[in-house]
Amino acid sequence: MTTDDLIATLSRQGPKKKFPSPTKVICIWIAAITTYIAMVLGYASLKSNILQRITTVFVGPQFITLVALIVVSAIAASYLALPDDNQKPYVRAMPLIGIGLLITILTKQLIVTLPSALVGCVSSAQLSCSVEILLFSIPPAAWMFWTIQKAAPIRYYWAAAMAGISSGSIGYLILLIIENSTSAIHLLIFHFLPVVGILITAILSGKWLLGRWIRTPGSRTK
Amino acid sequence: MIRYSFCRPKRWPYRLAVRTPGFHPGNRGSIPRGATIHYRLTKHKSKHSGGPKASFFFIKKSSAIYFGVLRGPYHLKNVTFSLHTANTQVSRQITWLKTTAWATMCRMTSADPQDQLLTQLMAKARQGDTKAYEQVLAICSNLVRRMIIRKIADERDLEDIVQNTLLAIHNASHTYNTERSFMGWIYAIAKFKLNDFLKAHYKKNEFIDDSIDEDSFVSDIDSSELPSSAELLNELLQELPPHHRRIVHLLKVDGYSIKEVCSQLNMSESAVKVTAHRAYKALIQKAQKRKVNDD
Repeated sequence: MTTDDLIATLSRQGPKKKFPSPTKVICIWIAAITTYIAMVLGYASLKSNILQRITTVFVGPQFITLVALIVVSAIAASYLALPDDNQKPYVRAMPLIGIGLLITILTKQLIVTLPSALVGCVSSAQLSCSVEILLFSIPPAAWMFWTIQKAAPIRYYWAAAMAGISSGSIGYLILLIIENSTSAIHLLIFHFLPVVGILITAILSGKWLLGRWIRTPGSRTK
Repeated sequence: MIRYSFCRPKRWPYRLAVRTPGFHPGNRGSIPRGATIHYRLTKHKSKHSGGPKASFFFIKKSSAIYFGVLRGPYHLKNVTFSLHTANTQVSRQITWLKTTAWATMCRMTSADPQDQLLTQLMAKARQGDTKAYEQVLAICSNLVRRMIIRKIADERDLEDIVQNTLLAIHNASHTYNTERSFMGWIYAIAKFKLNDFLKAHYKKNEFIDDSIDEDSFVSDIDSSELPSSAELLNELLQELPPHHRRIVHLLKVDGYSIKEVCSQLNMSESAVKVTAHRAYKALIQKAQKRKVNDD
């Protein structure tokens, strides 16, 4: 088939219906995420001391950082879902600042705790926390991936990473509110590492889940 | 696409920069030659306006950046400025808050005539105008071809990439945001497809370097494995795909060299070698199968 024939065939089909702008996508995502978190917290019978917990020195900064991380990575994912040569690289770097902040908060708390606490924490392995984070993050991750793959991501690994960070942080945030743990080691091993795991899984599945649109018939990437 | 960034430092003079995002030297995204910038200041309730010779002037730093310095002391409320080109006029009002150092950053419509034309055509195409969409794709194919022709010498590969890119552009046609540059959108897709092709190409060439040396390959073949009669060879050749058959015929029957075959078929040397290798392999397998059946 010659290029002219291809153009004639494609023009008969016409362009597809317009995809919502990143701003609209972000607004929908944030509204949905808020509803989802509220529903999960409502189902998990919200504790009366939630406000008291959030305002503590250790939980408060984590809470703020996680909310910022969710929003920023969702914004980055919505922009990375669209092909654009003029896209600024800092869009991808913004969520890394949030992750860095979260690590700093946890490490700072970790320094004041005794090394023996690490042994105790590991010996009484609470994998249920990791499983819960994973379960809580699956619905938002599925929805985000579904929305992104409906667009046309060129940097699909990055887009997947951003969606992974955002959904993983949602799981972390929900468990931070539900659970009464104040142990930094516990949070680092059983809460933060699963988020890293989700991020890695998202990156690995990025090409398979988000790179489908680019594999046109006859493409060498098929 | 023109972006106006506004910086309001705590001290005078105020600095203002008008720049285009994604600027590449000598490439798209620059402010068109001959563009002029006008401003209008609002000082509390009274208005001051003037051209470049007034206290608020612009210096052209590069083809992408205009830099302006505003000397005070004014207690500014609003600044409206506009960019005039031959084809378009964009203007934006920015409100300064007295306490904020950084005012705002905003995006404007495109000032590049071709970008504008493509944006307009795409808008028409979205309303169901197939002619406009055909025009968009035709312009895109030319732009993409011009972009990749420097990197891909083989004409067949070039057309292959152009067609794949056009398909990708069509598949992603719903993601074009009219507020952003059309060129930025198609170049992003084209770059991706080109890199994708080059990755696959280099990967394939690694394989060729290791294993496909026609002479060594032929010398490795055991003569007992080859068909004994010309009749049998002809029969087996007929079973090959036409493209493979033609290459074997040109190389082995007509006695052309690989370079001559390349120029005749308009293919790259590596592609001819790969096809010939596959054809020989298929011939041997078919001959062995035939031998087993005869026994």
